[in-house]
Amino acid sequence: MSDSKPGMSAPDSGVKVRMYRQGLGDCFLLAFPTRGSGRPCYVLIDCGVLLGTEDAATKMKKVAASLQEATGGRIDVLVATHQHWDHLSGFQQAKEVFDQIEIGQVWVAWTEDPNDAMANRLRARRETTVRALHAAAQGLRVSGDETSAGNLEAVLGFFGELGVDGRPSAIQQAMAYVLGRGNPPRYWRPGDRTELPGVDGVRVYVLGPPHDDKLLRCSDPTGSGQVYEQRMALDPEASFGVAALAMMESMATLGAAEGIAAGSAAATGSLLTGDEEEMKRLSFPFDKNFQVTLDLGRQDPFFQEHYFGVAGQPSEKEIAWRRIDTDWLGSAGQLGLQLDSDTNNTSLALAIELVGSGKVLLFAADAQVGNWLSWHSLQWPREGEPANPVTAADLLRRTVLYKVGHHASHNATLQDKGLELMTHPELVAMIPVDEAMAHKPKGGNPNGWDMPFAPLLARLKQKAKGRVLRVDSGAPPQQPEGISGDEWKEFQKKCDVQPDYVEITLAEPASPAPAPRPSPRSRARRGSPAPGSAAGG
Amino acid sequence: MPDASSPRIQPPPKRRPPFRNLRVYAFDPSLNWQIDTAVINQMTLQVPWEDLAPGPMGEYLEVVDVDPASACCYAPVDLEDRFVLAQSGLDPAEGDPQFHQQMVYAVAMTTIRNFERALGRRVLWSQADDDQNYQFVRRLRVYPHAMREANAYYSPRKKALLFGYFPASAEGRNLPGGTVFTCLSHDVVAHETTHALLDGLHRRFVEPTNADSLAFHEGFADVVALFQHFSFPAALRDQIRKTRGNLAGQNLLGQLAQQFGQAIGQYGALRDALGTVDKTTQLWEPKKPNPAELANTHEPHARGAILVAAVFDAFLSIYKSRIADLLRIATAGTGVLPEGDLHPDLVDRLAREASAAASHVLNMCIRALDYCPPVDVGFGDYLRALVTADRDLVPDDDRGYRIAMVEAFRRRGIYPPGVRSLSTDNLCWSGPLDADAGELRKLLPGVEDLRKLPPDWSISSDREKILDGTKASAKAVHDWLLSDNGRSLGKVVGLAIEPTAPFSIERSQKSGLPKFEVHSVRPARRQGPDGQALNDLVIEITQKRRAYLDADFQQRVDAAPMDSPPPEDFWFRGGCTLLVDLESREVRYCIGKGILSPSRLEAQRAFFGGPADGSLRATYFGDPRRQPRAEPFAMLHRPVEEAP
Repeated sequence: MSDSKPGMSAPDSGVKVRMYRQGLGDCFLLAFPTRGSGRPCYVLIDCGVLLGTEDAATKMKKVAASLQEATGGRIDVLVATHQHWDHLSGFQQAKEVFDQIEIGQVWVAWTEDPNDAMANRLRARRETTVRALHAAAQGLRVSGDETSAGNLEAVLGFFGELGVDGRPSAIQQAMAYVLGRGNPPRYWRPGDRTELPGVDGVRVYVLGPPHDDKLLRCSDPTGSGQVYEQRMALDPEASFGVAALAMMESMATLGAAEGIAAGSAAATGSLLTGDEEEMKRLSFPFDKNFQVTLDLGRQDPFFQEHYFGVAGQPSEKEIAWRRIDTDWLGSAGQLGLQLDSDTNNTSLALAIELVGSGKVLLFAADAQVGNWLSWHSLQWPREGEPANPVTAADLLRRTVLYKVGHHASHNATLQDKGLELMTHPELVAMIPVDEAMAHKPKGGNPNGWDMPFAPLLARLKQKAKGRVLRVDSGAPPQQPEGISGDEWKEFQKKCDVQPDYVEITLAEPASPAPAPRPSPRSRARRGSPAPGSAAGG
Repeated sequence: MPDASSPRIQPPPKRRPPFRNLRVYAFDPSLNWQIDTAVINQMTLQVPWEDLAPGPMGEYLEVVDVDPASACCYAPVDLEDRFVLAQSGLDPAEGDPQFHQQMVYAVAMTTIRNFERALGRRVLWSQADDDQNYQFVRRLRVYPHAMREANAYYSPRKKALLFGYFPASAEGRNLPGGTVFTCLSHDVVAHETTHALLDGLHRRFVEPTNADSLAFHEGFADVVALFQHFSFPAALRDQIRKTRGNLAGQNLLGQLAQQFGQAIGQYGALRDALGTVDKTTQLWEPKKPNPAELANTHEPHARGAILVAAVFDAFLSIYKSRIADLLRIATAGTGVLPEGDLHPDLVDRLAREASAAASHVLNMCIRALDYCPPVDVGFGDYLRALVTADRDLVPDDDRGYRIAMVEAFRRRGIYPPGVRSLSTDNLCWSGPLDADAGELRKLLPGVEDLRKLPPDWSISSDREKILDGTKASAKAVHDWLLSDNGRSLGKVVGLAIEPTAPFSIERSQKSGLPKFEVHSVRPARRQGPDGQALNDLVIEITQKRRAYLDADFQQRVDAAPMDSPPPEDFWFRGGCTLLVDLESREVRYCIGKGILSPSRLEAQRAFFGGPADGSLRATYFGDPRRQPRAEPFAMLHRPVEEAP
């Protein structure tokens, strides 16, 4: 037990939510009143900032120090939602500070569970793809397509720096650190329901990520399934990936490309593993006896005349404009977006219910379409009302605080079965977005990223009657349209905008009768997923 | 021992064969793995005979099989090899890259031939870009194994078709992990070849200027792929036999069309446009046309699918009217078919009618390209082009084909802007008004000189000479318009070429007058009232103008010359297509997109200036509408994501 006095208080009932203002990234600290001890229960959800943020390490150390101060050196529940740098960087950049903080429980999604076969396949595949895409970016750069290379690398920034010489990448190290602090960590699955240690009248519903390959890849509309039944199963992504890694390997060995020193294949982690070698062998479209190496092709009159030209002769340059040596790397951008989106879809999505008033706080991390849609196939028993179970729609209807997904980009807030169902008159939106940082040029894109997405922001403002809190701008400077004077004053009273964080207090009406408590970790009945549900949106 | 000088018997000289027979997959290779479809999955295409070098490499195409992702190349097939010639080409085989080369060649040549037949002249690929000195491109390059993804595209920069391959998913009839080759799908090859042909005819259609632009490229390519496939009776016969009961209905052909689209999953505009399989009955049902759908559909494939569906509706009407008599004969007038299998002769006749109707529709659709405006084409423009082109070829619409077309488009909500009614006459393009027509005619040279304008496009002429001839003719037309008289006529054809034209239109260094470009001068064949073949001259003139999202800004740039005008938000293009009667020197049609049209400028501002769509791509890589695309079709054919 820590001895210093916590700097952040909890309300007598309800919860106080603090959003740190470190930049484009998520870091939320929640303080709940506990029974008995005067010390609140602290829940930390993520702690990160985007790769490429200025002085990122300094900023995150400052955030961590503030966390230490606010919690008095003990975080009761540490939640790491998914493996993206803008959510976890702090656990690397400010590791020394976190080392000094006592951690009660560590909560992660089942996708981190080393005993879950599907999770292991997902992570292994992700790791190969990240390395392959880094290799593809190098290839694009060598081919002169700086724009695509830069665009791709900017998106790969969500995974932090690549590991060198076979070591795990920065994001893997960050997650490993978090998991190492739990003993053991809790791996939540959709449909779980739990409570916070020492807290009365609060229930936590686990909405996602779905334990379902298809829904996890819902942003893949080809519906091609990609069931990783075996580790070795070859899919389009893997077929592309091993080719990119092989290309990098041969470029490095040949030293063919200027600017890429020999041995940089090892540096970018693009050497093929044994499994990948096997996949590479499987990925050739034709048998060995049809394969002619490019070296042989260069000496063949047909390919000289029509493709390569003769080395050193004018023909080599004259016919080069129709060559397609690196055109196949063009799909890397799409794969990068897909990977980003797939990883977002593994977000641990939590709904925190204040039982007395029935109000709900929705922390869905960066969940994408598939994750959101899957919530609607879940239900939890409601005490005394077996015929009327708690559903996702019910929780959304009671949501009074929505942590907006993925810095308010278009694809992390579901419309019809998401935001439109949030109809509570007291709804507040918290957006961890730094618009200036998002709009900074990234890669080959001079305007940066489209965050927040204007139509979504407009709708959020409507639904929340202007009660939108942001990392960059804090609270609205004056009374927004569509809200009454009383409501506005009420809201202003609840908020505390500081240079380093924004706080909002959601107090519960004093109700003497404590709500009946369900048995801890009660398991929900899982409704059978509706077959058509993935098609909505 | 025969004496060397003794005469030898010489056979009469052999004629070159008109065709070369080449075997291909009729559908896609996976059908070979099912016993009920394996038999029908082969067909023999007849492509025009030409001397071929290994590759194959002929007059129009060069297949170069380099596979950079696998760091391999594959030896070029020699279709002149006597063993290969003796058996109509290589055996269809997925595992033999040389068969792949043969199949892309055969299908692409079939598409090229369909275009040449419909247009009555030789086809040209678009010229190389400026960094390649606009050089003549004799052959379209074909790479059958260019990349590892479920994608295939036409590269306007490289004048090449790139086909991908990818491991099959575990679902469906494919071998999980087995390789799917896009170059082995007839429809994919025809689709991509059509993109290249369309680009050769209308370079500016690649630029997205309205919601229909890219959708038109996609939809049109699908129309050609679909109806080319339907024009092979062999592809239809088996299906007609199997689903005998449905012949009167529309289900059979609609379903078949959709299967083509689904052959490689995501691909093609067809997807769900024509109908869907009902979840409970497991039966395919045609989708009811919904006129409101068009207004709410923006994604190019989905929008293109509406165009395909409309043309397909028209095809069904035509087909039904063509087989009505056959059904009456076969059922002794009752219209009720007897139980059991259909008579093979009837199946054969029905298949041939379907195939003839498909060929007819295909012809109509391709011919309409000569009647499109040179820029900013919309579906409505295309409908007008269809109707006009068909009237020029078949003056008497006694079978009601044009009505069928208009009706089908109307039911899908496709109306041309600015017509008073949807009668076919009203839809036909018109020429300039009388007074203007007279002025225009003054501009034109005498019939003799006029006739010399279009180069000899006949099937035997050299294509490079055709291009040179076109350039010379374009120069001549350009000179007419440079005259004072010509400049004053600009407004008649929708151009701004007078000295007073807005200064957002660039001025020529030499003359200080507004620039414009004569895009194309080519002949178009039509049928006169007495059945005689007549030729029109098609002239395309275009112009571009700096456009700004801010209207005030636009006004300032328009008003006075600036040394270095601020960078434009987008280029606004205008121009017209003129069809001139080579006999009477009459300008028969003037199909314009006015460069000064405020409404069109406003529409394009709305198109470019609206909020981004929020897709992952737009979120991270920038608004696609603001970025010059090196490969416009590559992206278009990659999977689209689901909207939240």
